[in-house]
Amino acid sequence: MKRIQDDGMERAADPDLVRDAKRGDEAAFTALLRPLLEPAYRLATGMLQDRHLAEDAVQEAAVKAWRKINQLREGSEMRPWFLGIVANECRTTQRGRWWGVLKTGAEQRGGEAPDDAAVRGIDLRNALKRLHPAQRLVVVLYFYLDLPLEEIATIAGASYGAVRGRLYRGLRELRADFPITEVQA
Amino acid sequence: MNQEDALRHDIHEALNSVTGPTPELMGKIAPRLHPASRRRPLVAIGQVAAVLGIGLVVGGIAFATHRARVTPATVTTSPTAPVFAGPGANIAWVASQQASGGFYSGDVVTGIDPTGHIVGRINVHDELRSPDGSHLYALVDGGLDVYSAVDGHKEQTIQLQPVTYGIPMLSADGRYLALVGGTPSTLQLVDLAAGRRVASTNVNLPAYGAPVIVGAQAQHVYVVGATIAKFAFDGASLRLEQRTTGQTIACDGLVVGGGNSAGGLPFRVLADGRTLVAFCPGDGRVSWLDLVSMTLTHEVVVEHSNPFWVSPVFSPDGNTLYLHEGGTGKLHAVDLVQQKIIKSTKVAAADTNPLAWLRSLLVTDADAGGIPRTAALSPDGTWLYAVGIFGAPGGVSLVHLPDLAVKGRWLPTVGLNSVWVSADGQTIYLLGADDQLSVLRTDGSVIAKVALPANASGFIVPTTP
Repeated sequence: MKRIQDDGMERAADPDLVRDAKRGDEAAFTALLRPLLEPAYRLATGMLQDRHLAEDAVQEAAVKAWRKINQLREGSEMRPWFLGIVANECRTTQRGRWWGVLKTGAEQRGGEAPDDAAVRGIDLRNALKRLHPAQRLVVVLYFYLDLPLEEIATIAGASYGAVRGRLYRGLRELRADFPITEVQA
Repeated sequence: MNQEDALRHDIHEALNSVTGPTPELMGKIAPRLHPASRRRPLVAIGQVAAVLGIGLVVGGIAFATHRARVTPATVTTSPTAPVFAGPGANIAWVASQQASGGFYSGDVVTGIDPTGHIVGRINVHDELRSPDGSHLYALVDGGLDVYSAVDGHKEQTIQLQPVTYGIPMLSADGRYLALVGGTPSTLQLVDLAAGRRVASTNVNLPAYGAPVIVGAQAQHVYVVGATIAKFAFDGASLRLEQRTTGQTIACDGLVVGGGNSAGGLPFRVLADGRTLVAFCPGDGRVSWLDLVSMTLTHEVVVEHSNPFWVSPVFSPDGNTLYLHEGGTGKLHAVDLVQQKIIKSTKVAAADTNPLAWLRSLLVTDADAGGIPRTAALSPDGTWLYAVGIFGAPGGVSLVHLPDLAVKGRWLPTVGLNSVWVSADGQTIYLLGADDQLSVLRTDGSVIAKVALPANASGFIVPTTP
């Protein structure tokens, strides 16, 4: 499977839009935000594995990003900055987890036994849930959002080496037989 | 395809089924940007100042009027008849959430006796308390730890088949514990009196769900998720007896976890042994499910401003469900036998704060995911103690249940999050917004104040399914 190539179009913030957004131009901010909502939602669902919580997390992150847009340095990249806020929002959501809504969801409805692919999917999602959240963040960003490790380091607020280490340990827990040497930056 | 690509493919497949198509988010986000508009900050500041000014005047008048109307702490809520309490049942156990790397990693559970002394501390997660209040149970890898509620010492570990994401539930008499875990989804039944697992079987579907034990000898165990599976227990083995298909009750099953907080579980098997009543915090629905036919028989939706503000509390006899909405002070009593709302009123624990109304305007989004535990009952079923929400000052309202009227208020200037009453009804424990626990007598006098570990989130109350 070919990794999705990052052309950088969504990463670099248009300096004019950033300047306008910092002046309070909502249209400019939404123009910056719009292409980031899809990866943000995928990140949140990957972390939380719940669509409704993911929607809430992305909405909260968007409002916070609007309030903090002045903290985005001109010329810096919008996508890792915003995804970092989304990751923090997911962390907040999980930290407040003193409850549990049971969701068997659509993955196993009806009275028939699930097929092998569905079972594998459940096993993998459960394995992801068991990961330390810092490892899960890196695994989701790398394998689900197909982001490069450098950008993941920015999102996670960690060094390149630390992110690589988390990915290594996360993969070891996901698949004990996974040859980590194949993971490329 | 190398292994990295294979894993990437598998993760895409696994998560795509959860993610689905990206919803239209901008339509929900854009309106929320307006209140935070940064174009005209001086105008916005002026508007807020004007609103606050008006609010202070109006709230001040309302505050003064309300204080004059509500009798201060002269009410005594002592039980009218002695209430039996087992060893440790009068000790409050309070969970403080712990985090590792910013994420929930378990609880530190602190025991506080009616004199305000700390009697023990346990590091656990997924904890339950026995219906008689005498024991605490916590899942560990491959087992179940049993702790004394007297001082928190571990009495034994019962061996179990290791599970992921286990959902434990006790029987109403506390003798049995059922555990559903995946994957593959298994149901294990533990005889707590014998201290061993007595049966285990595969659940298959629903893959996840909360177990509900029915019968003195656990004759039936239901696994309630989006669908329901019914198992018969013959004393030695579990056998699948019936299974539903399709949606059964709201919330895609029973909501648990909130059972660890004041007020107990948001569901209950009624005295007839065949009717399961469940409250869904997602939409405020109360559902009646007939466990024999395994069909939904009735639903009621109470008036609420936000279902996530509603705290469900069952009466000791299980025949009445009280729904207290902390954000607004609304209280509804639902007769579970007659299947109807019998009375609604407003107890407004938080309205002594002149600006409480402003908070309700500012906090407009559902606190998605949680069940607030803002109400608790005295064991004789006479009094309901209601605190506010958001930790706002307002103290605790004393609601006399026979007439559903507020008879008094304690600590009106204190912000409280949760309340629990000891099994003998003589001690009221109040959890404040600042990780402070107040221990009160039934006349409202304060016995002690105890500082708890940070992030104190709720009481571990007896589990009565």
